[in-house]
Amino acid sequence: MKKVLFSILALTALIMSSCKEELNSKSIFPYVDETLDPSSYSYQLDSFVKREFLNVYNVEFRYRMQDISSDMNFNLVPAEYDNCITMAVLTKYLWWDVYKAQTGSEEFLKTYGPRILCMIGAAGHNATGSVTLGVAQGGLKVTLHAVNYIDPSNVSTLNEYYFKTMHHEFSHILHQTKTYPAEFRTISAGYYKPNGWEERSDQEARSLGFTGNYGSSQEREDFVEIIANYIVKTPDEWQTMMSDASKGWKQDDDGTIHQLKQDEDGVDGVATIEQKLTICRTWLREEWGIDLDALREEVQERQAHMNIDSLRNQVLMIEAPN
Amino acid sequence: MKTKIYISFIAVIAAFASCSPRVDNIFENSAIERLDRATQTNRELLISKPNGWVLQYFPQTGASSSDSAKHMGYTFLMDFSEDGSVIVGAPVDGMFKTESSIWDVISDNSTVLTFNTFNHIFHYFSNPDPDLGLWGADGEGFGGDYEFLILDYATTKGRLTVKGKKRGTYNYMYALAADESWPGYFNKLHKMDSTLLSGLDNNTPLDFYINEDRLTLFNAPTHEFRAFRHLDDTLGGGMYYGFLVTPRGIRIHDDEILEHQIGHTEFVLNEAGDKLVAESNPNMYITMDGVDAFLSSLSAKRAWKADIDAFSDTRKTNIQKIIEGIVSDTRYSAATVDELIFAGNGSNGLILTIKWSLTQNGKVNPMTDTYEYVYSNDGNKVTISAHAQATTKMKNMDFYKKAKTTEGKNNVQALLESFMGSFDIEMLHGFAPKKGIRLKNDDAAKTFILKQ
Repeated sequence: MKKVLFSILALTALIMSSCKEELNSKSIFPYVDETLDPSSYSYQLDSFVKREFLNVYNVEFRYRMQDISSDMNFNLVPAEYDNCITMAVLTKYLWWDVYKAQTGSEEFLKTYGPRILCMIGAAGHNATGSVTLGVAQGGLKVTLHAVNYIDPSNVSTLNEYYFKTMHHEFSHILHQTKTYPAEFRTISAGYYKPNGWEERSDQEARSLGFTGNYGSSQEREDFVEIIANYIVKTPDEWQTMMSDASKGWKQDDDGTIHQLKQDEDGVDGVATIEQKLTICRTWLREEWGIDLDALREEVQERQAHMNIDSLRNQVLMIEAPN
Repeated sequence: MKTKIYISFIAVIAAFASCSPRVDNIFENSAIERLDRATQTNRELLISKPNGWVLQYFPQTGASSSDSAKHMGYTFLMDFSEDGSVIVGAPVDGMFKTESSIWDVISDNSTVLTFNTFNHIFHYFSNPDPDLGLWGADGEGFGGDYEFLILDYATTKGRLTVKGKKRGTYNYMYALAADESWPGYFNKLHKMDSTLLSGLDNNTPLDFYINEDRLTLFNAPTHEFRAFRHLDDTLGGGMYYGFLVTPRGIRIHDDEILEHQIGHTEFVLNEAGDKLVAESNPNMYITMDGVDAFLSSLSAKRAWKADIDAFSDTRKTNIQKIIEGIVSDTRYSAATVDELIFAGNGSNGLILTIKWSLTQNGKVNPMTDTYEYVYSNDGNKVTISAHAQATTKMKNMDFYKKAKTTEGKNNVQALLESFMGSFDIEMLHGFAPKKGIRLKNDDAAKTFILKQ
């Protein structure tokens, strides 16, 4: 019986192997010329992002919206071309160049940086009324929302909506690659509010040991919010935040926030934030070789001396070859 | 037995295996090559029109149980350039504006036309926060698309059909004539809009004939029909269907209205200006019944002004004799009849207001009298009759009292009676009853014209 089966198998294999299928050596994919067209409407920005991101870091700065690469749960729209110029130069100036300076070379971002940066015009509107300003996915892609709202003349909005989001999302990329210490998970366990974090005021959240209400949503957001806030907030702003953390707060139904005579939540907000900051600082130093305080100083120095017109001229002064 | 089975099995395998693996290609090129070619062809088509394209755009599709600007249609002009930019033009807050942004034809679900950088004019309808309020927006806005599957180019009609990728709306693009100015195109649309809709109220019913069936449409001025089956109760409810105005008529987005298939067709205004006829079917058209239009306006207490200059000689003579009598038999030096206004009283009463003037010692004194009739719908006519207290009402009028003589009073009575009878209602300006209707009586002397 076995012999018969082997015979069948052998014969079948023989017959099948005798078939010869010749593959066409021509690629089924059409040739795509990657050379930029100097007559293109977007030549200046395309040249800049190719030169500064693609050629150096193998990063695609994707400002032409592809809905398939965005979060389909949101209704989103593309970013305005002119605002993308602003975002491109700011991304380089306040993010890419900072890490390059702090790590001494381009290798860090080449190795650990996201491969795709997506610019989206609208914010992601959540059903709760909050908005999503950015998303980091799989250690590979960072999406920045609300690019159509950028106002270079409003530094605090720039800081809150864009710069903080850049460092927030990049910190996600880093911990998606090397996770944060287990110790961090225990500090505020029991105080996270994944659903309904919006109902907490920033002050109430700070009193509980978070940098703001979004940080109190879940531990990974807490982790990156500590880093991002520490990087972009000036010492005075950070001190104001810590002052909030040292007090007790109550929010009325109409949204009015009152300071309480005594902090009744049972959490030492200042000590908790400082404990978390220490963990973040150590993690960045030991896992990534990054000095958080030096990074912060570099970012704030750059923010303080930022000249948006001069930065935009890096794109707008690009001349197309004849 | 087993041996036979094995032999048969081997024979079958051998038979199949001996078939050549070569299979003739159905298509000459690979799928990716064909998609790439289609992408290139569509890109060239879009660039090829020297004066750009008209896009008839609907943000969202589907019948709605409430009115919403999401379902109405909007027109854009677009000029696609080889450099990857597109100029979009449309009226914004009453002013014609243009803005440039970037476009592309990409391979996605199919060949897809995408407007992939933000354009304040076009993306207004896909922006989740159209009024650019970051906080407090509902996250949907008009909910429209900015990416479209390119479905079909009908060369005979010069029409490119594109389908909203997310919402599935069917949107048409037409090449704009080379000699047409962009603002001029919107002026044409405005003119057609005015021709069709400015003479209507929301409660003016339109009759929509679909072969043997008939629907009633309200709310035309909102650009969103509220549709009912004929003779259904129209006090509430109805389903809403958005449409847009084209240079030739209108286009309703939905291909089905109250379970009647109408297809994605344009309705073109006929030469007489009284019907919007489906391009795809002459037995499908929208028109207006004069009686319905007039009676619905009376129900809504709309006022109609009589065209005194167009009165018959008989009626003019009545008025002239009344005036002559007042001037000759009283202390007044002059009298004029300035306006005769008819208005519904909300039930079946028709109020005639006569505005006239008396001049005394060089001073003109405006006078106002009212007189009440009743009206009824007599099938395809309107019947205006005397009120139950017609005589009393007439005698209460200053107009009657001032006409001191018997002849004068008889002429007042004749004038008031001349508006009684059965009248056909003729539309003088197609879909614009406000601009003029003729109440036509078998007695030509009684025929008169009303305008709003």
